[in-house]
Amino acid sequence: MKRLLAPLALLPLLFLWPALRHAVEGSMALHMLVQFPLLLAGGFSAARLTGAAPLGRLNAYGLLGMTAALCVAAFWMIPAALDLSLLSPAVNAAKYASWWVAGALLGASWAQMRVELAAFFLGNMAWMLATAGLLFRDAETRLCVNYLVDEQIVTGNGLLLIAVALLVLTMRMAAAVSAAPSTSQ
Amino acid sequence: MLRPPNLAATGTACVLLLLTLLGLSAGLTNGFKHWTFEDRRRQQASEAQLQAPAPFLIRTSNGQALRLFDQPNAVYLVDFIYTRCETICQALGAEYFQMQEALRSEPTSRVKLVSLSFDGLHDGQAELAAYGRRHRADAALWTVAAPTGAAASTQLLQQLGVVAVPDGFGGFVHNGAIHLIDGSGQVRQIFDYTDWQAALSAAQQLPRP
Repeated sequence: MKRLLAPLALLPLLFLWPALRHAVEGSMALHMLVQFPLLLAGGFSAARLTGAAPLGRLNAYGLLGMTAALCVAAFWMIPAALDLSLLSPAVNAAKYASWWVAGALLGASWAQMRVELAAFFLGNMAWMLATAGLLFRDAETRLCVNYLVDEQIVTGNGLLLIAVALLVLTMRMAAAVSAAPSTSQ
Repeated sequence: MLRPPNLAATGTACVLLLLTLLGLSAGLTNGFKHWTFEDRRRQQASEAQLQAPAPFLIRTSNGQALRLFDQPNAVYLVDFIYTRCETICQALGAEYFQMQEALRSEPTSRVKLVSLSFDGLHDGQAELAAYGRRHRADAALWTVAAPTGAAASTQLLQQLGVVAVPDGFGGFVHNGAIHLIDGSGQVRQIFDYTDWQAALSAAQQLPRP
């Protein structure tokens, strides 16, 4: 896993290449299902590599990092936010920064996270992505002026798939917690 | 040495973060009412926040140069087309024809129908003229035209929030609609194609400046 951190930390730099950025952002599925996770992973890896833990007292059990990731993900599920990121360079910059910072905060929280809380966080993320995915899939009109209805359905299905994967992970974590003998005292 | 994490401080920071999310989302969606760009755009139009470049120069299907949005008394019903469009634009053409016939019985009307092409690469004067003939456009009531250049076209579309994306079959999908624009270039309201009667009556009833 450690060997993946450096390449993952550098991957977001690829989006500085305009042709690649336009290609990825030109597809709703690549934009939401590939770019968002890559930015998050980029920030996460950078923080893990540098060992930065900037939040100090504010991040007990990594709660602030996890909350930040949930907030950022929730905001960029709003169709208007996605459209504006394509129509306004400033909004797009905010999108890149927010996903990267959310990832970095998660990375900085890593050492303090408790598996119970991480499972709770993942479960919430799964629930939110599934809700957005179902709404995207079932919308009868175009949600984004920059994307077609077909892409909306593909993206909705992709979000549902990610939600299911996160849910499986959550359940495995929960199972591991309940199987382990209590060692906290 | 670092001070240890504090649960109360962490909880406060988390709540502040969640409130920030709520605030930003509420701002973006106009109080959780308008979740899409198009809904926001229509809301902005009804709040007089969308302004077209004024005056705006166009070249009509007759080859004539015209200035839009420089007559305080005029009212424009503007839609955006590309002449190769086989689907919804054909229907919209039909709706513009119906508006045209309704206006014919009202010779003193201030309402001007304008169809503007956003496909500058393909739509020259001949294509625009063919579009006008196909839809029986009467140049006295309904102007079929294009902006005078790519830069002007981009500026108009950007200011009005009209976005055309390739449909994968050589055409476009765009948030086309009927834009009610006053004589100074301010968008007053945006209507769906199917609401052309409401668009026409709103245009006719727009108070004079």
